[in-house]
Amino acid sequence: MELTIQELTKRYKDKTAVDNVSLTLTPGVWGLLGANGAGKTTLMRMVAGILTPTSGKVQYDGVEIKTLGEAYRDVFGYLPQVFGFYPEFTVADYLQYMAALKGLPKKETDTKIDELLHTLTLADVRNKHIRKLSGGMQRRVGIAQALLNDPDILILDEPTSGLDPGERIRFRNIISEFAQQRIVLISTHIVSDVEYIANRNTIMKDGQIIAVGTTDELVKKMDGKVWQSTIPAEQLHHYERSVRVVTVRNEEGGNVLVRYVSESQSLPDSQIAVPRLEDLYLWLFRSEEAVKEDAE
Amino acid sequence: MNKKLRSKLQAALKDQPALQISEEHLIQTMQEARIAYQNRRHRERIRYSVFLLRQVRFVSAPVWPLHGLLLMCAFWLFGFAGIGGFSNFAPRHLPVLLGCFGVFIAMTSIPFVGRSMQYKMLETEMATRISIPKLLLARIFIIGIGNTLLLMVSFLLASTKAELGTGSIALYLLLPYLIACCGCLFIQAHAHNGQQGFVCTAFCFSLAALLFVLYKTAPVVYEQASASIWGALCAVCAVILITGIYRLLDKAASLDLSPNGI
Repeated sequence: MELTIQELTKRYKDKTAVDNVSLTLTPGVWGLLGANGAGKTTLMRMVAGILTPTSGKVQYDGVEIKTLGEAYRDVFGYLPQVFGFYPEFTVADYLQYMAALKGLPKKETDTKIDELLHTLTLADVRNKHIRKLSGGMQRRVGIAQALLNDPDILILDEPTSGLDPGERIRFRNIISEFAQQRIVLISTHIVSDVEYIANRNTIMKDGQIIAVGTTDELVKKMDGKVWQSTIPAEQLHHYERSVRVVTVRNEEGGNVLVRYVSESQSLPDSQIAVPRLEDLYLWLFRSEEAVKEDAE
Repeated sequence: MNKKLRSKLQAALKDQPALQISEEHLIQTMQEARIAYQNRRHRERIRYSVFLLRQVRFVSAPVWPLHGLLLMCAFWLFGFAGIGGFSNFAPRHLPVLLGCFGVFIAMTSIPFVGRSMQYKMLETEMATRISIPKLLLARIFIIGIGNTLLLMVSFLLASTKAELGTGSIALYLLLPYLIACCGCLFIQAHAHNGQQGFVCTAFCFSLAALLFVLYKTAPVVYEQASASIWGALCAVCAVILITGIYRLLDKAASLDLSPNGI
Protein backbone atom coordinates (compact mmCIF):
# COMPACT_ATOMS: atom_id res chain seq x y z
CA MET A 1 0.00 0.00 0.00
CA GLU A 2 1.39 3.35 -1.04
CA LEU A 3 0.11 6.88 -1.34
CA THR A 4 2.23 8.95 -3.67
CA ILE A 5 2.11 12.71 -3.78
CA GLN A 6 3.73 13.95 -6.98
CA GLU A 7 4.78 17.57 -7.46
CA LEU A 8 1.60 18.82 -5.88
CA THR A 9 0.98 22.56 -6.08
CA LYS A 10 -1.97 24.67 -5.04
CA ARG A 11 -1.91 28.26 -6.07
CA TYR A 12 -4.49 30.89 -5.21
CA LYS A 13 -4.64 34.35 -6.73
CA ASP A 14 -1.82 35.89 -4.76
CA LYS A 15 -0.50 32.98 -2.75
CA THR A 16 1.05 29.58 -3.28
CA ALA A 17 -0.33 27.48 -0.43
CA VAL A 18 1.43 24.25 -1.42
CA ASP A 19 4.50 24.46 -3.61
CA ASN A 20 5.66 21.43 -5.62
CA VAL A 21 5.36 18.89 -2.81
CA SER A 22 6.41 15.29 -3.46
CA LEU A 23 6.14 12.57 -0.86
CA THR A 24 5.52 8.83 -0.72
CA LEU A 25 3.47 7.64 2.23
CA THR A 26 3.78 4.01 3.29
CA PRO A 27 1.93 2.21 6.14
CA GLY A 28 2.59 3.70 9.54
CA VAL A 29 1.95 6.96 11.33
CA TRP A 30 3.18 10.05 9.52
CA GLY A 31 3.42 13.34 11.37
CA LEU A 32 2.94 16.47 9.31
CA LEU A 33 4.40 19.33 11.30
CA GLY A 34 4.31 22.97 10.48
CA ALA A 35 3.32 26.37 11.78
CA ASN A 36 -0.13 27.80 11.12
CA GLY A 37 -0.35 28.78 7.46
CA ALA A 38 2.43 26.41 6.39
CA GLY A 39 0.07 24.67 3.95
CA LYS A 40 -0.73 21.53 5.96
CA THR A 41 -4.51 21.75 5.66
CA THR A 42 -4.36 22.55 1.94
CA LEU A 43 -2.08 19.55 1.38
CA MET A 44 -4.36 17.30 3.40
CA ARG A 45 -7.44 18.46 1.52
CA MET A 46 -5.75 17.65 -1.77
CA VAL A 47 -4.73 14.22 -0.46
CA ALA A 48 -8.35 13.76 0.65
CA GLY A 49 -9.48 14.55 -2.89
CA ILE A 50 -11.71 17.42 -1.82
CA LEU A 51 -9.50 20.18 -3.17
CA THR A 52 -8.31 20.21 -6.76
CA PRO A 53 -4.57 20.86 -7.11
CA THR A 54 -3.30 23.52 -9.49
CA SER A 55 -0.78 20.96 -10.71
CA GLY A 56 0.58 17.58 -9.68
CA LYS A 57 -1.26 14.47 -8.61
CA VAL A 58 -1.96 12.05 -5.78
CA GLN A 59 -1.82 8.32 -6.54
CA TYR A 60 -3.01 5.42 -4.44
CA ASP A 61 -1.15 2.25 -5.36
CA GLY A 62 -0.22 3.77 -8.70
CA VAL A 63 -3.69 4.97 -9.68
CA GLU A 64 -4.67 8.62 -9.50
CA ILE A 65 -7.23 9.22 -6.73
CA LYS A 66 -9.44 11.23 -9.09
CA THR A 67 -9.74 8.14 -11.29
CA LEU A 68 -10.47 5.90 -8.30
CA GLY A 69 -13.25 8.22 -7.11
CA GLU A 70 -15.65 6.39 -4.79
CA ALA A 71 -13.25 3.44 -4.44
CA TYR A 72 -10.67 5.80 -2.93
CA ARG A 73 -13.16 7.45 -0.60
CA ASP A 74 -14.16 3.98 0.54
CA VAL A 75 -10.71 3.27 1.95
CA PHE A 76 -10.37 6.74 3.33
CA GLY A 77 -11.05 8.31 6.73
CA TYR A 78 -10.83 12.04 7.22
CA LEU A 79 -11.09 14.37 10.15
CA PRO A 80 -11.09 18.02 9.07
CA GLN A 81 -9.57 20.78 11.15
CA VAL A 82 -12.97 22.34 11.76
CA PHE A 83 -15.41 19.84 13.21
CA GLY A 84 -18.94 20.57 12.08
CA PHE A 85 -22.23 18.95 13.06
CA TYR A 86 -25.92 19.62 12.73
CA PRO A 87 -27.35 21.10 15.93
CA GLU A 88 -30.09 18.50 16.32
CA PHE A 89 -27.64 15.59 16.17
CA THR A 90 -26.81 13.40 19.12
CA VAL A 91 -23.52 11.50 19.07
CA ALA A 92 -25.31 8.36 17.85
CA ASP A 93 -27.26 10.31 15.20
CA TYR A 94 -24.06 11.86 13.90
CA LEU A 95 -22.29 8.52 13.59
CA GLN A 96 -25.37 6.89 12.01
CA TYR A 97 -25.52 9.76 9.52
CA MET A 98 -21.84 9.46 8.64
CA ALA A 99 -22.13 5.67 8.37
CA ALA A 100 -24.92 6.12 5.82
CA LEU A 101 -22.77 8.52 3.79
CA LYS A 102 -19.87 6.08 3.94
CA GLY A 103 -22.13 3.31 2.68
CA LEU A 104 -21.84 1.06 5.72
CA PRO A 105 -24.54 -1.61 5.75
CA LYS A 106 -27.18 -1.05 8.43
CA LYS A 107 -26.27 -4.26 10.28
CA GLU A 108 -22.58 -3.38 10.52
CA THR A 109 -23.25 0.22 11.50
CA ASP A 110 -24.63 -0.41 14.99
CA THR A 111 -21.85 -2.85 15.91
CA LYS A 112 -19.17 -0.51 14.60
CA ILE A 113 -20.64 2.50 16.40
CA ASP A 114 -20.82 0.58 19.71
CA GLU A 115 -17.22 -0.51 19.29
CA LEU A 116 -15.94 3.00 18.53
CA LEU A 117 -17.95 4.65 21.29
CA HIS A 118 -16.43 2.17 23.71
CA THR A 119 -12.87 2.64 22.39
CA LEU A 120 -13.12 6.41 22.49
CA THR A 121 -14.94 6.37 25.86
CA LEU A 122 -18.00 8.07 24.44
CA ALA A 123 -20.51 5.36 25.35
CA ASP A 124 -21.96 7.43 28.21
CA VAL A 125 -22.78 10.34 25.93
CA ARG A 126 -24.08 8.44 22.92
CA ASN A 127 -27.55 9.99 23.25
CA LYS A 128 -26.36 13.45 24.19
CA HIS A 129 -26.52 16.34 21.74
CA ILE A 130 -23.07 17.04 20.30
CA ARG A 131 -23.51 20.76 20.88
CA LYS A 132 -23.66 20.10 24.62
CA LEU A 133 -20.34 18.21 24.70
CA SER A 134 -16.96 19.70 25.55
CA GLY A 135 -14.51 20.54 22.74
CA GLY A 136 -12.43 17.47 23.55
CA MET A 137 -15.44 15.15 23.39
CA GLN A 138 -16.58 16.71 20.12
CA ARG A 139 -13.10 16.06 18.72
CA ARG A 140 -13.36 12.42 19.79
CA VAL A 141 -16.70 12.14 18.00
CA GLY A 142 -14.90 13.47 14.93
CA ILE A 143 -12.19 10.84 15.30
CA ALA A 144 -14.88 8.16 15.66
CA GLN A 145 -16.51 9.16 12.36
CA ALA A 146 -13.13 9.03 10.61
CA LEU A 147 -12.64 5.46 11.83
CA LEU A 148 -16.18 4.27 11.01
CA ASN A 149 -15.37 2.62 7.69
CA ASP A 150 -12.18 1.01 9.01
CA PRO A 151 -10.08 3.03 6.56
CA ASP A 152 -6.77 2.01 5.02
CA ILE A 153 -5.79 5.65 4.83
CA LEU A 154 -6.56 7.92 7.75
CA ILE A 155 -6.01 11.66 7.48
CA LEU A 156 -6.38 13.66 10.68
CA ASP A 157 -6.06 17.43 10.62
CA GLU A 158 -5.18 18.77 14.07
CA PRO A 159 -6.85 15.80 15.81
CA THR A 160 -5.71 16.67 19.31
CA SER A 161 -6.83 20.28 19.48
CA GLY A 162 -9.05 20.62 22.53
CA LEU A 163 -8.05 17.27 24.04
CA ASP A 164 -6.77 17.21 27.62
CA PRO A 165 -3.45 15.45 28.41
CA GLY A 166 -5.16 12.16 29.33
CA GLU A 167 -7.20 12.21 26.13
CA ARG A 168 -4.08 12.96 24.10
CA ILE A 169 -2.30 9.92 25.48
CA ARG A 170 -5.35 7.74 24.85
CA PHE A 171 -5.58 9.12 21.33
CA ARG A 172 -1.91 8.33 20.64
CA ASN A 173 -2.41 4.76 21.82
CA ILE A 174 -5.51 4.27 19.68
CA ILE A 175 -3.75 5.61 16.61
CA SER A 176 -0.60 3.54 17.22
CA GLU A 177 -2.73 0.42 17.47
CA PHE A 178 -4.83 1.37 14.47
CA ALA A 179 -1.87 2.21 12.21
CA GLN A 180 -0.78 -1.41 11.72
CA GLN A 181 -0.75 -1.92 7.94
CA ARG A 182 -2.48 1.41 7.40
CA ILE A 183 -1.37 4.87 6.39
CA VAL A 184 -2.11 7.47 9.04
CA LEU A 185 -1.24 11.10 8.35
CA ILE A 186 -1.56 13.47 11.29
CA SER A 187 -1.18 17.17 10.80
CA THR A 188 -0.34 19.20 13.86
CA HIS A 189 1.71 22.04 15.21
CA ILE A 190 1.93 20.31 18.59
CA VAL A 191 5.19 18.39 18.34
CA SER A 192 4.56 16.03 21.26
CA ASP A 193 1.46 14.68 19.47
CA VAL A 194 3.58 12.90 16.90
CA GLU A 195 7.01 12.68 18.53
CA TYR A 196 6.37 9.30 20.10
CA ILE A 197 3.92 7.68 17.69
CA ALA A 198 4.98 8.82 14.23
CA ASN A 199 7.18 6.44 12.27
CA ARG A 200 8.14 9.31 10.07
CA ASN A 201 7.73 13.04 10.26
CA THR A 202 7.38 15.61 7.54
CA ILE A 203 7.98 19.25 8.26
CA MET A 204 6.29 21.90 6.13
CA LYS A 205 7.14 25.54 5.84
CA ASP A 206 5.78 28.11 3.39
CA GLY A 207 4.05 25.40 1.38
CA GLN A 208 7.14 23.27 0.94
CA ILE A 209 8.44 20.17 2.65
CA ILE A 210 11.70 21.12 4.29
CA ALA A 211 12.48 17.90 6.15
CA VAL A 212 11.40 14.26 6.10
CA GLY A 213 12.56 11.43 8.31
CA THR A 214 12.08 9.42 11.45
CA THR A 215 12.10 11.32 14.71
CA ASP A 216 15.63 10.05 15.40
CA GLU A 217 16.88 11.07 11.94
CA LEU A 218 15.40 14.52 12.24
CA VAL A 219 16.55 15.02 15.79
CA LYS A 220 20.09 14.04 14.80
CA LYS A 221 20.25 17.24 12.76
CA MET A 222 20.15 19.10 16.07
CA ASP A 223 23.14 17.31 17.58
CA GLY A 224 25.40 19.93 19.12
CA LYS A 225 22.85 22.69 18.71
CA VAL A 226 20.80 22.22 21.90
CA TRP A 227 22.19 23.66 25.10
CA GLN A 228 21.26 23.98 28.75
CA SER A 229 22.48 26.59 31.16
CA THR A 230 21.60 27.82 34.63
CA ILE A 231 21.58 31.60 34.84
CA PRO A 232 20.25 34.18 37.32
CA ALA A 233 16.57 34.85 36.63
CA GLU A 234 17.11 38.59 36.13
CA GLN A 235 19.47 37.91 33.18
CA LEU A 236 16.90 35.82 31.34
CA HIS A 237 15.30 38.79 29.59
CA HIS A 238 18.69 39.92 28.30
CA TYR A 239 19.58 36.49 26.87
CA GLU A 240 16.16 35.88 25.39
CA ARG A 241 16.96 38.54 22.80
CA SER A 242 20.02 36.76 21.54
CA VAL A 243 19.16 33.05 21.72
CA ARG A 244 16.17 30.89 20.82
CA VAL A 245 14.88 29.66 24.16
CA VAL A 246 13.01 26.34 24.14
CA THR A 247 12.13 26.03 27.83
CA VAL A 248 12.76 27.89 31.06
CA ARG A 249 12.51 26.18 34.44
CA ASN A 250 12.72 27.97 37.79
CA GLU A 251 15.48 26.64 40.05
CA GLU A 252 16.34 27.29 43.66
CA GLY A 253 18.29 30.42 44.62
CA GLY A 254 16.66 32.74 42.08
CA ASN A 255 18.17 30.91 39.10
CA VAL A 256 16.54 29.53 35.98
CA LEU A 257 17.50 26.52 33.88
CA VAL A 258 17.38 27.61 30.25
CA ARG A 259 17.24 25.19 27.33
CA TYR A 260 18.07 26.89 24.05
CA VAL A 261 19.04 26.16 20.48
CA SER A 262 22.11 27.75 18.97
CA GLU A 263 24.96 26.93 16.57
CA SER A 264 27.39 27.56 19.42
CA GLN A 265 27.39 28.09 23.15
CA SER A 266 25.74 31.46 23.79
CA LEU A 267 25.11 31.43 27.54
CA PRO A 268 27.79 31.04 30.24
CA ASP A 269 28.50 27.51 31.51
CA SER A 270 26.26 25.89 28.91
CA GLN A 271 26.17 22.16 28.48
CA ILE A 272 25.11 20.17 25.44
CA ALA A 273 21.63 18.66 25.86
CA VAL A 274 19.99 15.67 24.20
CA PRO A 275 17.94 17.08 21.31
CA ARG A 276 14.22 16.50 20.86
CA LEU A 277 11.88 17.07 17.93
CA GLU A 278 10.60 20.21 19.60
CA ASP A 279 14.11 21.70 19.42
CA LEU A 280 14.28 21.08 15.68
CA TYR A 281 10.83 22.57 15.23
CA LEU A 282 11.87 25.72 17.04
CA TRP A 283 15.14 25.82 15.11
CA LEU A 284 13.33 25.64 11.78
CA PHE A 285 10.43 27.92 12.56
CA ARG A 286 11.95 30.60 14.71
CA SER A 287 14.83 31.43 12.40
CA GLU A 288 12.59 33.45 10.14
CA GLU A 289 11.03 35.33 13.03
CA ALA A 290 14.44 36.03 14.50
CA VAL A 291 15.60 37.51 11.19
CA LYS A 292 12.50 39.68 11.08
CA GLU A 293 13.06 40.82 14.67
CA ASP A 294 16.67 41.65 13.92
CA ALA A 295 15.63 43.66 10.90
CA GLU A 296 13.23 45.67 13.02
CA MET B 1 -13.83 -2.20 -12.72
CA ASN B 2 -14.16 1.54 -12.57
CA LYS B 3 -15.07 2.78 -16.08
CA LYS B 4 -12.51 5.58 -16.03
CA LEU B 5 -9.81 3.21 -14.87
CA ARG B 6 -10.71 0.66 -17.54
CA SER B 7 -10.53 3.24 -20.35
CA LYS B 8 -7.25 4.59 -18.95
CA LEU B 9 -5.76 1.11 -18.89
CA GLN B 10 -6.99 0.41 -22.40
CA ALA B 11 -5.50 3.68 -23.64
CA ALA B 12 -2.20 2.89 -21.91
CA LEU B 13 -2.10 -0.57 -23.48
CA LYS B 14 -2.78 0.84 -26.93
CA ASP B 15 0.24 3.14 -26.60
CA GLN B 16 2.52 0.22 -25.84
CA PRO B 17 4.37 -1.48 -28.69
CA ALA B 18 3.59 -5.15 -29.25
CA LEU B 19 5.30 -7.15 -26.52
CA GLN B 20 6.58 -10.68 -26.45
CA ILE B 21 4.55 -12.18 -23.59
CA SER B 22 6.10 -15.05 -21.76
CA GLU B 23 3.63 -17.79 -20.85
CA GLU B 24 5.26 -18.27 -17.47
CA HIS B 25 5.01 -14.58 -16.57
CA LEU B 26 1.44 -14.45 -17.77
CA ILE B 27 0.45 -17.30 -15.46
CA GLN B 28 2.33 -15.67 -12.60
CA THR B 29 0.59 -12.34 -13.22
CA MET B 30 -2.79 -14.07 -13.33
CA GLN B 31 -2.09 -15.77 -10.02
CA GLU B 32 -1.00 -12.49 -8.43
CA ALA B 33 -4.07 -10.76 -9.82
CA ARG B 34 -6.31 -13.49 -8.41
CA ILE B 35 -4.75 -13.14 -4.97
CA ALA B 36 -5.08 -9.36 -5.10
CA TYR B 37 -8.71 -9.73 -6.16
CA GLN B 38 -9.47 -12.15 -3.34
CA ASN B 39 -7.79 -9.89 -0.80
CA ARG B 40 -9.55 -6.80 -2.05
CA ARG B 41 -11.66 -4.77 0.26
CA HIS B 42 -15.21 -5.96 -0.12
CA ARG B 43 -17.29 -2.95 -0.95
CA GLU B 44 -21.02 -3.18 -1.18
CA ARG B 45 -22.65 -0.97 -3.75
CA ILE B 46 -24.69 1.82 -2.20
CA ARG B 47 -28.21 1.44 -3.53
CA TYR B 48 -29.65 4.92 -3.85
CA SER B 49 -33.10 3.88 -2.68
CA VAL B 50 -31.60 2.45 0.52
CA PHE B 51 -29.49 5.56 1.01
CA LEU B 52 -32.55 7.74 0.46
CA LEU B 53 -34.54 5.83 3.07
CA ARG B 54 -31.69 6.12 5.58
CA GLN B 55 -31.56 9.86 4.97
CA VAL B 56 -35.25 10.40 5.76
CA ARG B 57 -34.77 10.62 9.53
CA PHE B 58 -31.79 12.99 9.26
CA VAL B 59 -33.28 15.34 6.69
CA SER B 60 -36.81 15.29 8.06
CA ALA B 61 -35.83 15.85 11.70
CA PRO B 62 -35.48 19.62 11.43
CA VAL B 63 -37.92 20.16 8.52
CA TRP B 64 -40.94 18.00 9.17
CA PRO B 65 -41.79 19.52 12.58
CA LEU B 66 -42.00 22.88 10.81
CA HIS B 67 -44.12 21.26 8.13
CA GLY B 68 -46.37 19.88 10.89
CA LEU B 69 -46.75 23.37 12.28
CA LEU B 70 -47.66 24.70 8.86
CA LEU B 71 -50.12 21.86 8.40
CA MET B 72 -51.91 22.93 11.57
CA CYS B 73 -51.90 26.50 10.27
CA ALA B 74 -53.39 25.26 6.99
CA PHE B 75 -56.25 23.60 8.87
CA TRP B 76 -56.74 26.71 10.96
CA LEU B 77 -56.68 29.09 8.00
CA PHE B 78 -58.42 27.11 5.32
CA GLY B 79 -60.10 24.20 7.01
CA PHE B 80 -61.93 25.57 10.00
CA ALA B 81 -62.55 29.04 8.61
CA GLY B 82 -66.24 28.47 8.56
CA ILE B 83 -66.34 28.05 12.31
CA GLY B 84 -67.00 30.96 14.65
CA GLY B 85 -65.10 34.19 14.23
CA PHE B 86 -63.25 33.22 11.09
CA SER B 87 -66.33 32.90 8.89
CA ASN B 88 -65.95 36.36 7.35
CA PHE B 89 -62.17 36.34 7.41
CA ALA B 90 -60.73 33.55 5.30
CA PRO B 91 -62.83 33.49 2.12
CA ARG B 92 -62.33 37.19 1.40
CA HIS B 93 -58.61 37.11 1.98
CA LEU B 94 -58.08 33.66 0.52
CA PRO B 95 -55.89 34.68 -2.48
CA VAL B 96 -53.37 36.59 -0.40
CA LEU B 97 -53.50 34.00 2.39
CA LEU B 98 -52.74 31.23 -0.09
CA GLY B 99 -49.86 33.23 -1.55
CA CYS B 100 -48.30 33.95 1.84
CA PHE B 101 -48.79 30.34 2.84
CA GLY B 102 -46.98 29.16 -0.30
CA VAL B 103 -44.09 31.47 0.54
CA PHE B 104 -43.89 30.14 4.12
CA ILE B 105 -43.85 26.53 2.89
CA ALA B 106 -40.78 27.34 0.80
CA MET B 107 -39.22 29.39 3.60
CA THR B 108 -39.39 26.58 6.13
CA SER B 109 -37.76 24.02 3.89
CA ILE B 110 -35.54 25.23 1.03
CA PRO B 111 -32.80 26.70 3.29
CA PHE B 112 -32.30 23.18 4.70
CA VAL B 113 -31.02 21.96 1.34
CA GLY B 114 -27.71 23.76 1.73
CA ARG B 115 -27.15 23.45 5.45
CA SER B 116 -23.84 21.56 5.05
CA MET B 117 -22.02 24.86 4.54
CA GLN B 118 -23.82 26.59 7.37
CA TYR B 119 -22.89 23.92 9.90
CA LYS B 120 -19.38 23.25 8.50
CA MET B 121 -20.26 19.69 7.56
CA LEU B 122 -19.38 19.98 3.89
CA GLU B 123 -15.72 19.01 4.22
CA THR B 124 -16.57 15.85 6.16
CA GLU B 125 -19.41 14.96 3.79
CA MET B 126 -17.24 15.48 0.71
CA ALA B 127 -14.75 12.89 1.95
CA THR B 128 -17.36 10.13 2.11
CA ARG B 129 -18.41 7.61 -0.53
CA ILE B 130 -21.67 9.26 -1.44
CA SER B 131 -21.25 12.28 -3.68
CA ILE B 132 -22.52 15.73 -2.70
CA PRO B 133 -24.97 15.92 -5.66
CA LYS B 134 -26.53 12.62 -4.53
CA LEU B 135 -26.80 13.92 -0.98
CA LEU B 136 -28.39 17.17 -2.14
CA LEU B 137 -30.78 15.27 -4.37
CA ALA B 138 -31.87 13.15 -1.41
CA ARG B 139 -32.51 16.28 0.63
CA ILE B 140 -34.47 17.93 -2.18
CA PHE B 141 -36.53 14.77 -2.63
CA ILE B 142 -37.35 14.34 1.08
CA ILE B 143 -38.09 18.04 1.57
CA GLY B 144 -40.11 17.99 -1.65
CA ILE B 145 -42.36 15.24 -0.26
CA GLY B 146 -43.25 17.43 2.72
CA ASN B 147 -43.80 20.47 0.54
CA THR B 148 -45.99 18.61 -1.93
CA LEU B 149 -48.10 17.22 0.89
CA LEU B 150 -48.54 20.65 2.41
CA LEU B 151 -49.41 22.25 -0.91
CA MET B 152 -51.94 19.52 -1.65
CA VAL B 153 -53.61 19.73 1.77
CA SER B 154 -53.78 23.53 1.52
CA PHE B 155 -55.22 23.26 -1.98
CA LEU B 156 -57.87 20.71 -0.96
CA LEU B 157 -58.88 22.66 2.13
CA ALA B 158 -59.07 25.94 0.24
CA SER B 159 -61.05 24.28 -2.56
CA THR B 160 -63.87 23.60 -0.12
CA LYS B 161 -64.46 27.34 0.07
CA ALA B 162 -65.73 27.07 -3.49
CA GLU B 163 -65.76 30.85 -4.01
CA LEU B 164 -62.63 30.57 -6.10
CA GLY B 165 -62.03 28.18 -8.94
CA THR B 166 -59.68 25.30 -8.27
CA GLY B 167 -57.35 26.59 -10.99
CA SER B 168 -57.11 29.99 -9.31
CA ILE B 169 -56.44 28.40 -5.94
CA ALA B 170 -53.64 26.35 -7.43
CA LEU B 171 -52.10 29.42 -9.06
CA TYR B 172 -52.38 31.63 -5.95
CA LEU B 173 -50.62 28.93 -3.97
CA LEU B 174 -48.05 27.80 -6.51
CA LEU B 175 -46.70 31.02 -8.00
CA PRO B 176 -45.55 32.59 -4.71
CA TYR B 177 -44.23 29.18 -3.64
CA LEU B 178 -42.19 28.81 -6.83
CA ILE B 179 -40.89 32.39 -6.66
CA ALA B 180 -39.82 31.80 -3.04
CA CYS B 181 -38.12 28.51 -3.99
CA CYS B 182 -36.23 30.15 -6.89
CA GLY B 183 -35.18 33.06 -4.69
CA CYS B 184 -34.03 30.80 -1.85
CA LEU B 185 -32.03 28.59 -4.23
CA PHE B 186 -30.42 31.67 -5.74
CA ILE B 187 -29.55 32.95 -2.25
CA GLN B 188 -28.13 29.53 -1.30
CA ALA B 189 -25.80 29.72 -4.27
CA HIS B 190 -24.70 33.32 -3.89
CA ALA B 191 -24.98 34.54 -0.28
CA HIS B 192 -21.96 34.49 2.02
CA ASN B 193 -21.47 31.33 4.05
CA GLY B 194 -23.55 31.23 7.19
CA GLN B 195 -25.85 34.04 6.08
CA GLN B 196 -28.05 32.02 3.76
CA GLY B 197 -30.70 31.22 6.35
CA PHE B 198 -31.07 34.82 7.42
CA VAL B 199 -31.16 36.17 3.86
CA CYS B 200 -33.71 33.51 2.79
CA THR B 201 -35.97 34.39 5.72
CA ALA B 202 -35.69 38.11 4.95
CA PHE B 203 -36.41 37.47 1.27
CA CYS B 204 -39.49 35.35 2.03
CA PHE B 205 -40.93 37.85 4.50
CA SER B 206 -40.39 40.60 1.94
CA LEU B 207 -42.14 38.51 -0.69
CA ALA B 208 -45.10 37.87 1.64
CA ALA B 209 -45.24 41.59 2.43
CA LEU B 210 -45.19 42.39 -1.30
CA LEU B 211 -48.12 40.02 -1.90
CA PHE B 212 -50.06 41.75 0.86
CA VAL B 213 -49.24 45.24 -0.48
CA LEU B 214 -50.32 44.16 -3.98
CA TYR B 215 -53.56 42.81 -2.57
CA LYS B 216 -54.25 46.11 -0.82
CA THR B 217 -53.06 48.55 -3.51
CA ALA B 218 -53.64 46.64 -6.75
CA PRO B 219 -56.42 44.10 -6.19
CA VAL B 220 -56.66 43.71 -9.96
CA VAL B 221 -53.62 41.40 -9.68
CA TYR B 222 -55.79 38.86 -7.89
CA GLU B 223 -58.74 39.12 -10.23
CA GLN B 224 -59.82 36.31 -12.52
CA ALA B 225 -58.60 38.27 -15.56
CA SER B 226 -54.99 38.00 -14.36
CA ALA B 227 -55.12 34.21 -14.10
CA SER B 228 -53.44 33.68 -17.45
CA ILE B 229 -50.51 35.88 -16.39
CA TRP B 230 -50.25 33.94 -13.13
CA GLY B 231 -50.25 30.71 -15.12
CA ALA B 232 -47.53 31.92 -17.49
CA LEU B 233 -45.41 33.14 -14.59
CA CYS B 234 -45.90 29.78 -12.87
CA ALA B 235 -44.58 27.95 -15.91
CA VAL B 236 -41.57 30.30 -16.17
CA CYS B 237 -40.80 29.91 -12.45
CA ALA B 238 -41.10 26.12 -12.66
CA VAL B 239 -38.55 26.10 -15.49
CA ILE B 240 -36.25 28.43 -13.54
CA LEU B 241 -36.56 26.22 -10.44
CA ILE B 242 -35.75 23.02 -12.34
CA THR B 243 -32.80 24.74 -14.03
CA GLY B 244 -31.70 26.10 -10.65
CA ILE B 245 -31.75 22.63 -9.08
CA TYR B 246 -29.86 21.20 -12.04
CA ARG B 247 -27.22 23.92 -11.81
CA LEU B 248 -26.96 23.45 -8.05
CA LEU B 249 -26.28 19.73 -8.50
CA ASP B 250 -23.89 20.41 -11.36
CA LYS B 251 -21.99 22.95 -9.25
CA ALA B 252 -21.89 20.50 -6.34
CA ALA B 253 -20.34 17.85 -8.58
CA SER B 254 -17.24 19.99 -9.11
CA LEU B 255 -17.21 21.50 -5.65
CA ASP B 256 -13.90 22.73 -4.34
CA LEU B 257 -12.94 24.18 -0.98
CA SER B 258 -11.70 27.68 -0.44
CA PRO B 259 -8.29 28.33 1.18
CA ASN B 260 -9.79 29.74 4.35
CA GLY B 261 -12.05 26.80 5.03
CA ILE B 262 -15.81 26.63 5.00
